[in-house]
Parts: sequence; C-alpha cells; structure tokens
Amino acid sequence: MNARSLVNHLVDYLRREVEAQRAVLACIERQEESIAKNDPAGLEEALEEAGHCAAAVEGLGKRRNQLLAELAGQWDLAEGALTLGGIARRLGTAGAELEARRRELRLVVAQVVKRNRRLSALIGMHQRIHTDLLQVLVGAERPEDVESGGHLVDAEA
Amino acid sequence: MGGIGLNTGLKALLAAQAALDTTGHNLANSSTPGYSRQRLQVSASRALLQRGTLIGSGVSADLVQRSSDALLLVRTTKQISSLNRLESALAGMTEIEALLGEPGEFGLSAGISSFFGAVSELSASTEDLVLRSGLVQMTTAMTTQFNQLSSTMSTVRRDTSNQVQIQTQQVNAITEQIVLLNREIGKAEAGGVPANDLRDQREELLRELSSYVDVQFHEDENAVLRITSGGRLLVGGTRAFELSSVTGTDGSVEIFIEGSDEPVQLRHGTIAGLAQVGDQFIPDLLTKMDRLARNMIFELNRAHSTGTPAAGTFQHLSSSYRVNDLDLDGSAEDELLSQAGLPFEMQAGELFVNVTHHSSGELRSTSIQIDPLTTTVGEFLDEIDGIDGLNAALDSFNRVQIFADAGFGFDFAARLDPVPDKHGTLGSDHASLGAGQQGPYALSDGDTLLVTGAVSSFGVTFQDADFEELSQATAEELAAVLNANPDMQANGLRAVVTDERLYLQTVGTGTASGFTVDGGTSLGALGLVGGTAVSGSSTAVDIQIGGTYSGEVNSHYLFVPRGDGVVGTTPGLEVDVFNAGGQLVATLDVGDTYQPGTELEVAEGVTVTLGFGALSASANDSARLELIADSDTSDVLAAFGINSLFVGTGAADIELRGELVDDPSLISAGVSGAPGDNRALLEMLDVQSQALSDLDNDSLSDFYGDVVSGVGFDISQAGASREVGEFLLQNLQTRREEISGVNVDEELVQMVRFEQSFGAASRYIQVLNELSDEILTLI
Repeated sequence: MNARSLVNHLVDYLRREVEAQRAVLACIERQEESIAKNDPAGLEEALEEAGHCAAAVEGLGKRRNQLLAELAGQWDLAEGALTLGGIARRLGTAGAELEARRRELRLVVAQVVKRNRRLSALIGMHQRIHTDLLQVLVGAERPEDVESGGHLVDAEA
Repeated sequence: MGGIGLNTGLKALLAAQAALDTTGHNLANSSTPGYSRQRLQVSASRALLQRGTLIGSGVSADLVQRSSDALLLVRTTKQISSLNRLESALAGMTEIEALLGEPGEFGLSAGISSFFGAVSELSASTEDLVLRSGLVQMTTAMTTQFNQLSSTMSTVRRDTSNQVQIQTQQVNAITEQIVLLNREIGKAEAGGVPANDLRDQREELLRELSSYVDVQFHEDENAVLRITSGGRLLVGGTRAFELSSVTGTDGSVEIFIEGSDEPVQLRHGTIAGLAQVGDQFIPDLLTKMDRLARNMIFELNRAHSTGTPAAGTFQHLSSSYRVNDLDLDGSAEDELLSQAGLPFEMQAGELFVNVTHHSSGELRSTSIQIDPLTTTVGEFLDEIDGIDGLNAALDSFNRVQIFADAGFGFDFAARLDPVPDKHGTLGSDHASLGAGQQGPYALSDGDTLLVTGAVSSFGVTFQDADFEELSQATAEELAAVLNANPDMQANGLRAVVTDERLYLQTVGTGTASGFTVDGGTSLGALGLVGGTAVSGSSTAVDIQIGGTYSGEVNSHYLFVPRGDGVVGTTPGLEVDVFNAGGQLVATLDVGDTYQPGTELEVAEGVTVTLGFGALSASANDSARLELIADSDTSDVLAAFGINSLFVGTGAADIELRGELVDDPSLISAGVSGAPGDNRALLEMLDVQSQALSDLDNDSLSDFYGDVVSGVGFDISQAGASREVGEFLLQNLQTRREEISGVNVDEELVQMVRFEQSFGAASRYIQVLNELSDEILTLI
C-alpha cells in the first residue's frame, strides 16, 4: 500500500472514529438522563451500550496504530513520531480532508472528555447520597451489605 | 460552549437531586395513610441555538407526579360507605342480640318457660301457698325481663341517636378541613405545580368522610372538590354545609344538611347504619316485644279474669285500666265501650256474672249482653249494678269498682248452676202450666187470656202499647204484662219464663194451690187449651247439677219429661235432654228402676240427680241449664283489666297486678273456688301453646322464638354482606396500593441497582478517559 492509499485509509478511520466518539457522547448523555430520571434500568442499558462503544473505540485505536506504523515506514520515520496534525501538514493541500476530519475528531473527543468528567462527578455525588440514604434506611455501611442481607449469628452467643 | 456545558451539568445534577428527593419522600411516607407514590417527571431541556447549531442543554425535572386513579377513588369511597353502614348496623344488632341473651338461662324465653312452669306446678296443688308465692316470683321475674329488655333497647336507641349526633359533628369537622384543602390546593396549583401531598390529604379526608355518609364528588376546573351526600351539597366551592341530626319525640332520628328543611336520606356510611339500627331494627323489635307482651297480658288476663280466688268469690274488684272521657263532656260513663280509650279491644258477646249468697250457698248467674259499638260504659255498669247483691260504679280515676253487698260474693267463672230450676218449671210443688211452645207468640191487639184462680175468675187483655211488636210477643213481655195485672196478684198467680217459654204458676205451693185456664183469644197463639186445670204438689222434684261442662262453646241443655209421672215410681218415666240446637243429647230413665237422688250422666261432663216428685209433660214442664264454656265471650273483663293477672299494656310496663303480689291467694286458680279446682290455671297453661291470630298464628313461645331467630337472621345476613364488602374493599385497597402505594423494597432495590450501575459507570469512565487521552495525544 502506498502513502496516498494509507492517507485515504487514515481519513476513513477518522470518519469512523468521529462516529464512534459521537456514539460515546450519546451514551454518556443517556447515562446522565437515566440518573436524573432515577431510572436504574435505563442506566443499566446505557452502560451495556457504553461497553459496546468502548470496544468499538478500542478496535478503531488498533486500526489507527497500524495505519500510522505503516505510514511512518513509508516516510522512514520512527514509529510514534507521527501525529495527525503532522501528517496533514506534510501532505499540504492534499491533506485538507484529513485536517478537516482531525479537527472534527478533536472537537468530539474534547466533548467526550468534558462530559465524561461531569458524569464522573454526577456518579460520585449519587454514590455518596445513596450510600448515606441506604445507611439511614437499612443501616448498611456499604451498598453491598444491602445486597448480601443479614449475617448469621451464633445462637448460643 | 463551556457555559452550556456547565449549565447542562447543573441541570442534570438538579434533576438527579430531585429524583433522589422524590425517592426519599416516598420512603419517608411509606407508612403515611393515604399517601400516593410520587415520581419525578423529566424531559430533555430545550436545545439552544449557538452559531447556527442547535445544541442540547441536558435534562430538566418538570414536575413530581402522584400515582393516583380517580375511578378507583370513586369505587373505594362507595365501598367504604357501604361497608361502614353494614359494620355500624351489625354492631348495633349484635349488641341487641347480646341483650336478648338467647338461647340461655337468663333469656326471656327461659323466663316465659319458668312462668308457665310455675303455673303448671300450682295447677297440681292449687292450695299450696308456697307455690302461689313461687308463681308470683316467677311472674315478677318474667315481667322484669320484659321491662328491662324494653328499657335497655330504648336506651340503646337513645345512644344510637347520640352517636348520630356525634358523628354529624365529625362529618362537619372533616368537610371544613376539605374546604381548607380545596383553597390550599387551588392556590398551590395556580402556578401549575401539582399539590400532591395536599391532594393526598384531601383524598384521605374524603375516604374518612365516606365512612360516615355516602358521598358523590367531582373536582372542578379550579381543583375544588365538590361533595354531595344524599343528593344535597355538602362541600361547595367556598364552604361546607353543616350536617345536623334531630331526634323526634318518638325517638326517630332525622338528618338535615344546612340549607334545606327536608331531611336527607342517607343510604350508606356509619350514620345510615346507626339510623338503620335506631329507626328500624330496634323499633321493629320493640314493636314485636310489645305485641308479645300485649298478647300475653290479654290472653292470660282473659283466662285469669273468669277464675275464682282461693276464697271462692270476690267482695270487691277494681279494673286495672281506666276509662277515658274522650268526648270531654265531664263524664266517662256516656262513652261507648269501643270508644272508652281502653287499651284492649272487646267484642259483642255476653258476660256471666255469678253472685253467691254466702249463708245459703245459692248461686245466681246473670248474663249481660255486651255490644261495644252500642253499649256505653254507664249501661255496662248499670247492668252489673242491677244484679242483686252487687254495686258497680266508676271511681274518681274512672276505674270500674265492683262491690258485693254484705253476705254476698261474686265472680265471673264459667260455673254450672247447681240448681238450675230456679222458677220451679220442672216438677215444681207450685201449680205450673207452660205455654204449648216457645215464644215469640203471634198475638193481636185485644187478645185475652181468661183464668180462674183461688179468689176469682178474670181476664188479661194484651195491648199493642205493652209490646214492642205484639205479633212477635216475647215470653218476657207477656210475663211482664201478666205479673203487672192486679187480678193475677190477687189470685196468687205469677208468670215466669224458662227457655223462652211462658209459664203460669201459683205463688203458693202444695196440693191446695191451683188455677184453671178458662179460655180467651190468645189460647191458640200460646198453645194452651181452654179448661186446663193445674194444681200444686206436696213435693217438688229436686234437680241438682254436677260435673264440669267440657264443651267448647256456650250452650244450654233443656230437660223435658216425656210423660206424666212420679220420679222413681212411674214405670217408664223418662226425661229427654236437648241441646241448644234442639238435638236430643240424652234420655234419662227416672222411672220405677231409678233411685231418686242417684247421679245420672247427661253429656259433655254434665251430671244430674233428680229427687222424688211429679213431672208433667202435659203441663209442659221443662228446666234449662246454662252451659258456659267461656263466661266472657265479649272480653270485657280483659279489656277493663277486671280480675286481671297482669297490668300494663306492653313490654315496657307489663307487671303482675299489685293485689296478687301482696296476696297470692287472690290468684285465680279455678272457676269454682273449690279446693283442687285448677281450671283457670289450665286455661292459662293453654295460652302457652295456643296459636294467636295477633301473633301471626304463632304461640307466645313460637313468636318469641321467631323474633330471636329473626334477629339472628338479620345479623347473619348483615355479617355475610359485610364479608363480601370487606373482600371488595380489600381488593380495591390492594389495587390502590399497586397504583399509589410505596413499596419500600422496590425503592431500595432501585437504589441498590443504581449503586451497582454507578460502579460499572465509574469503570467505563476510566476506560473512556484513557482512550480519549490516547486520541488527544495523536491529534
């Protein structure tokens, strides 16, 4: 595969990566919504979907690393020295499409990171409230205690 | 961009907080009556337009909704009303059933049995004073049971009325609270926010209200709950209309809703149940108890009034009931017996009054004809007062007082006259000649009867003016005219009547006495033959009656000799005995084989002895014996309460007559006063098993048994209905719990599920962070 062909593959990868990250974003939104609606079943479904999204992103990451390694070989560069921005600049006008996709991806990923942080804060807060509430209601120190139920007590003790 | 992100995150946090608050609120109110589960309703916030692009702004908590079913509320309130009516009625009925104490040794049926048991014991030994006192005690115990049952039932009825009053106040308190909630809900929801908890409170009050009264309700556009009960407005847009109860003089309770003079008819709720007990169940039962007591009073008084006390006769009797001067003219004597305000009815019939001369033992029985529609109180008293040896009048309390003259006693017993031939028309020692047939006699104005007596011959002329209808002249009218004739008196003659047949007799006795019927125009009508001479006898036939008449209706026997002859001497001499229907019931052989003075069986328990003497069929000899099964077919004694066993008119006031309590020897055991005579007691015992038309052809015991079983049946029916009602209400409440109830487990499970998901989400966030970092490094 020549360099041109590798760049085309890279643009295709970027298109798919953007879609995958948008799916991740949607998934995060669904999780937030389920928490806000007090809908544990919805959260469970969103999490299951999130697992698929993460797997897809992970799969795309392998594909990306492979393309970058081959392109570095074509251009006699050290593996890991290439960035998407560097490739676009090297290609000049021929790299306009790649550059557009790269910008798009950067925006989406930035959103993912931001929403991910917010989700993390939301979950952290809920976890604390739930733990406190459960402790008040059923005296459980931890949520797991509620699941596991009571403890056997030696009748002779 | 950053602003939107922060805002979106804040909205999500607030929405999540609201959801958690709702869950906590549900859990905190899981045991609050009437609480309806709440759920947060969220929606996506409106997207914002930024740089030509619509950007989502996260989630927002719109409102907290109650899980409620309006139709279910309607059905539940109806069922609560229905069930509470049943429970309230059932509680009252069960209380009454407990009061009756049946079956049981302290119940009224045991009391009635003990009373009749004491009557039965006394009937075996009528002279036993201990048994007489025992009867007094048992009777008092039974009447006390009647009084207490009546009194306690009346008390329960009053309590019921009081409870209705209390509950109407509770209803008013509830409706006032509903009005306040209507206002608060209206204000709260004016801003578009549902007032969930206030609505729950209002619905709970509505359910409570439906337990007292039947309610119909609807909510208007301003969230005001309008409530009607029995078709009247109870809670309006701005105010409540007060419920009130009024207890009438008869104890009935009427419910009113402010604004209307017409009582409201409640069909359900505890107030309707109380009304059912107070206005229907107890009055019905009291009416039945009164019927039982009234019939017991009347029937036993009937049996007792014609009996005789241990002393044999009465010197004085006073009526238990008083006559009322209903026409308010100052005198009660002019009142008709049927309109004298007496508590018991009487009917057309006759009353036999017996007067006994103590020294001679002579008994005179007088029949008084009574028609309550035409006989006045005064006429009745005059009839008694007119009997030799008796005085009768109303006292200052308008009670009948009957006194016997000194040396006399009286009673109203169904006695057999031991010496029926008072006029000596059968084998008399007077010269006696009877008319050829019974009256009435078809005479004409101016008809004559020519007679020769001991002093002179004379004629008696019959004129229209002396008779009501001369062509139908009665034997009594003829006798009156003859006895008023001076020539009859001058010649020692008299006229008497036996069995509606006219007899001419000498006043004197013996063989020297006599007279001759010479002729006259009346002979044919009287069945006499001109020239018939009769003379007296040296010995009168002594006819004595014995035994006890066992017939069921009042009647008489007529003793008629079949030929002329001497008792115990003339071969073949016989006496025919005819009943009131003219049928031959016996032929007595009193010829030469008969030993005079020997008792002969006649019929129906009656015996007769004839002494030595001459009988004459040709002189139309006859003697009439009254047979009395019921000496008071008019029930005038029971109506006045003369010689009554009980006083009072119903369950509330039935009592043993005071004189009998003070002196048990006055209890009428027999009808002759003779030792061992228990016929009055036996008649009283018959009342126990007698089918009484006033008690639906039941006996006293059966009627009371029906009353008790009726109460049991009503309770059983109400109990069965209550079970069905409880089942239906339980189903509705279960359904409500499904829709509106808080399931703590469910809420907790939901929280635990979140906890588990939070862990998974945290791990996912970590992975995403790593992947994002990797991409950002390459970008």
